[in-house]
Amino acid sequence: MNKLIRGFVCLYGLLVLAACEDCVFTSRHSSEPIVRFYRKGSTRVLVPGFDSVQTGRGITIYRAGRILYSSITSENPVPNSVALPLDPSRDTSLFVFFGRRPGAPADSPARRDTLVLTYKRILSIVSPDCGYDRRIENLQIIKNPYDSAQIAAQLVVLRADTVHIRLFW
Amino acid sequence: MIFRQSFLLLVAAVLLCLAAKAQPAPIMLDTLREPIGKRLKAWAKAQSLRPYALRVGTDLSYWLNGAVSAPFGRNTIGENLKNFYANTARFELTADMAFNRNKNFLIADVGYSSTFRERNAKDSLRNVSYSNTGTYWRIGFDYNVLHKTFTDRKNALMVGWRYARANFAQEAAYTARSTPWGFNGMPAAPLFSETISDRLNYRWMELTMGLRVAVWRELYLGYTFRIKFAGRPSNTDRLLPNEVPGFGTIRSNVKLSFNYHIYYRIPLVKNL
Repeated sequence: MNKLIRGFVCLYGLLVLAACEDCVFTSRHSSEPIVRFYRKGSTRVLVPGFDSVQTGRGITIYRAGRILYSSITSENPVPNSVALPLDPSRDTSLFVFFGRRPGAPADSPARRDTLVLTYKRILSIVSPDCGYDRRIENLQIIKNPYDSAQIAAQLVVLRADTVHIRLFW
Repeated sequence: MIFRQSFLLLVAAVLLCLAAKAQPAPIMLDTLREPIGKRLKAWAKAQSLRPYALRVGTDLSYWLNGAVSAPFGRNTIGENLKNFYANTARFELTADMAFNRNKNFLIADVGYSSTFRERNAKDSLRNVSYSNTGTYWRIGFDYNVLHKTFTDRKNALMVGWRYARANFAQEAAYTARSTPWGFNGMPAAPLFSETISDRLNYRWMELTMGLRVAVWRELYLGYTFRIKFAGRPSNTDRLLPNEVPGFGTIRSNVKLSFNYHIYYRIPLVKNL
């Protein structure tokens, strides 16, 4: 009987030691889907030729080939792409593209194209010590000014050379 | 007269023959044992289904952790665990019903958990708070693998299985920056703050191993080692649960845990 009780105490010691919490966590989730442009019927990537791209709030996020606001992709941008930071307060984001379409002739008229995305925002508390993780799921296009569009990845996760939306015209 | 007596004798003989046929087979030694054996088996079966003892108790591990870990423990960012245990209330009642003379057990647990955790950093972008309140229950069965060794029919080394379910409410609040959408932290455009609430239920399974030891009369101490297999939360809208009452934090599909219990045992059968 005494052995059993001693065993009890030892096991409790193990429990206390095992009560530590680990905070090693790296998230690959992003709230900035990457968009690339293609000529219809082709897989060749077109250089974005826009003058600028604005969010629905009128804030410019891309101008003359430069990504102005991107928390992740500005350091290692995916070539020939535009990162679209999604509105954290809504499940819908609107983006306006000004200027010539990608691959269009230099003398083609400037345009104003609107792209509307819808998505589901999921929050997970990794631990109150570690912080939180936001992820974007079920990414969809509800207004597309181009000929066709393709969602390449509904879950917005950052990997090397990942493209989430392909737009064709 | 003789004819009449003969007739009566004949009738009596016929009746005797019929009666003799109606009698059971002649009593032999072997057949005499068989009904007793069957009766014993039936009695043993009835005893195996008859409740043998009821043990009711409570989980000590939450209180012990609070008493031992809180003064000395630190979390991963160096904060004392005192605050965590101050904002956490957990309680669990557990009961097991012994059958088959301390060989099989039916188990039922009910519990309550309420926890609130927050990180108040100087940089408000690092502030997070999370609260989680709910109840849970488990049902299952245990088998005493040492029922032949523990001849006193009190102690038990048990292996078993549980089905568990929790109903809880959770809430998380956080702050984020998004300059492209006007949340840049300036007075005219403050940071984006959001509070998300959700009500969920969660089901999971457990494989268990435990020990119950009588320490004084009908007072018992026991522990249960659990291998918990995570399920999926239902009705998840926008907030994934960080922890589930009775299950703990959800980080992987399999979780190990210990619970320590104190019990009082109520014998339901005497002189068995």
